[in-house]
Amino acid sequence: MLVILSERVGVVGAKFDEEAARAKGYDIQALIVGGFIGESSPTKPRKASKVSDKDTPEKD
Amino acid sequence: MPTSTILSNPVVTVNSVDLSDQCTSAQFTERYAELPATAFGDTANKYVKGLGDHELVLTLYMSYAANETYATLKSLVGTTTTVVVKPATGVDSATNPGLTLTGAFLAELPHNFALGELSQIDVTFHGGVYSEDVTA
Repeated sequence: MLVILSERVGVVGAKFDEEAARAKGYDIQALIVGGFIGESSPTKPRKASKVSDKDTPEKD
Repeated sequence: MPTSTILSNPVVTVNSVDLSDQCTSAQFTERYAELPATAFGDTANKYVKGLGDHELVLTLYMSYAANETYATLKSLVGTTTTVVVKPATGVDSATNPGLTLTGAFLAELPHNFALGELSQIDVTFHGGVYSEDVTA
């Protein structure tokens, strides 16, 4: 999903409607290259790593 | 009677990017070829409307910073895009029309470097389909 990265295009963080933009004749690739829009980062957080609750064995 | 004094309100967007704060002049020309339609019996030339040949000339400060003029235009040279100019901020209306060229061609991107001056460029978007957005 493309999101807005610059205030010059709209509200930063808002979804960029690619289909509507293409219908209006906008060059999507130029907007991406210019840094005005970009792919959103994954919203799903990574699964936390499991931590063992056992005590670390002491070394001699 | 003159009624339009341009101070700081016009809005200019190029490929959906608002470049109003980099723009000092926007000249939008709606133009059609005039096809001669004069015939025997006429006492003056007559013309009919031909193909549209519209144009938007923008004078812009050339900034190479991120998300500014160069970033907007660099990938558009030699391609077509949509440009919009309207007299004032706010919603489109009959008194604030969004003058639009869809599929306008940008043939060249000049670079001016002059000592002690803010760099300015004139860019011309040529052709495309003209429309006027008057709805909010």
